Amino acid sequence: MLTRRIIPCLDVTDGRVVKGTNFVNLRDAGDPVELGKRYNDEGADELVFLDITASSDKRAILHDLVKRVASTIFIPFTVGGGINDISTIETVLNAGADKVSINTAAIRTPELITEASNRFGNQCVVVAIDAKQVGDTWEIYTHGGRNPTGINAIEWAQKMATLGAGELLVTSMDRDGTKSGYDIGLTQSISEAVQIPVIASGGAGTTDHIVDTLKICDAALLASLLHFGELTVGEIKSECLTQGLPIRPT
Amino acid sequence: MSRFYISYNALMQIGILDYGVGNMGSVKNAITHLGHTPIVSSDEAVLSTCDCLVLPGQGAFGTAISALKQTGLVPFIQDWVTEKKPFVGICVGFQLLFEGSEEKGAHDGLGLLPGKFKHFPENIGLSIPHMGWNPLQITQDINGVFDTDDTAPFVYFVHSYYMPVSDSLDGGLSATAKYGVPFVAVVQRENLLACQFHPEKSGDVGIGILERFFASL
Repeated sequence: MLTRRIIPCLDVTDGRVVKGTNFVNLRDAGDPVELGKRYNDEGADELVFLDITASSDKRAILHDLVKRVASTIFIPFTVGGGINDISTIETVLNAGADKVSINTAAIRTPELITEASNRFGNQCVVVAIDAKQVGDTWEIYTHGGRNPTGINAIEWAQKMATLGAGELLVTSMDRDGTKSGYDIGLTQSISEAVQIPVIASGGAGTTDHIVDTLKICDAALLASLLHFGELTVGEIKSECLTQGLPIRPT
Repeated sequence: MSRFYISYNALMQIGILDYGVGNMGSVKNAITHLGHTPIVSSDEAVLSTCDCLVLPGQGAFGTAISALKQTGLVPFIQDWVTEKKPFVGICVGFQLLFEGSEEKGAHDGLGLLPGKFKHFPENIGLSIPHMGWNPLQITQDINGVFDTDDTAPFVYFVHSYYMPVSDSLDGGLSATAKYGVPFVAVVQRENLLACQFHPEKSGDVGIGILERFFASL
């Protein structure tokens, strides 16, 4: 059986890791290369790097940064933010990423998912879904959570899996940075709707939150809790093991 | 601190076979991290001066074997491995050492190890590819690559085809893993380390396996 995964996430802008609440009020959380190495050494199962500036003029700097992070870690590495065509995917993979996370571009051109999956293998293609609760369902937002799309998150998840996504990274915008717990309803609805692995993101505040979400999905994404030193990867994993979850020990 | 005491002879030139399939960066970083010199090349003259060769690879078996054939390096690799010169095969680079694969039509491999790869069963509720961390069950360790204190080391896999476990590996079976079905995860012979998983992506465990293999040479 595959183990559940603990995945630290570096949201990067202007060369620094930042973290906010509900996608705004960003504060500095450190140097991406140092943090990446720290999580590698602490026993993280993967690392995610999201470029949240996504402005084209800063792409060259980003490329160099991805390369530097990749050269100091020996765990799977996913890079996302502004990835909108095959050639960008190729560039990011050449810089040392193992997978790419695609968000806005998947909505504009869903066939990119199929194309990328055929070309690089579906293990390489993560589709990121940023969702907000609307009534009793969830709606997708793009452009770092700025634009509503009117698309139902559950239906979208199924469509992405059919088109060739290898994994889904599901972020609850309502919970992001709030430390009030993952959106279990959203995570569970998507997990039950698709066969591919689901990574839950947004809202982790305690080890109990992480344990609860890992009972219903494959991986938990973590940012503030780790960046600001409230918990370590080791502490989280040891609690998960105590609670009987299949976890790779650190 | 320990690096200071490594003798000059311990630093090796490790050739990474460049045949245009997959990302060589992680393997290169791992070799550099271990204090050796990685040499990425598809030139036989350059590769033949190396202390050890690594065949990496990802993606489809058929694409990989065609790309490898195009470099003209197939007889060179076959001779190198047959002469028991130091060699590491990783993921698709592990698969290519065998007779072949049933992947998208039948493909012949390098024929250095017996057996053909099969697709993981689709109907048992497991997502394919097999991607993630899974423990090894070690059967033997002829080059001394595993940490003797860790009886079930977790390593990182990404693959859709597997080598069924059989006794036909001429005594080379070193570790198995299980994903719905048991499969061959590591083959070792004298100076040969072939892994279905990615040691360069398996954290300290994977780096340790590479470190001990290079140290054994």
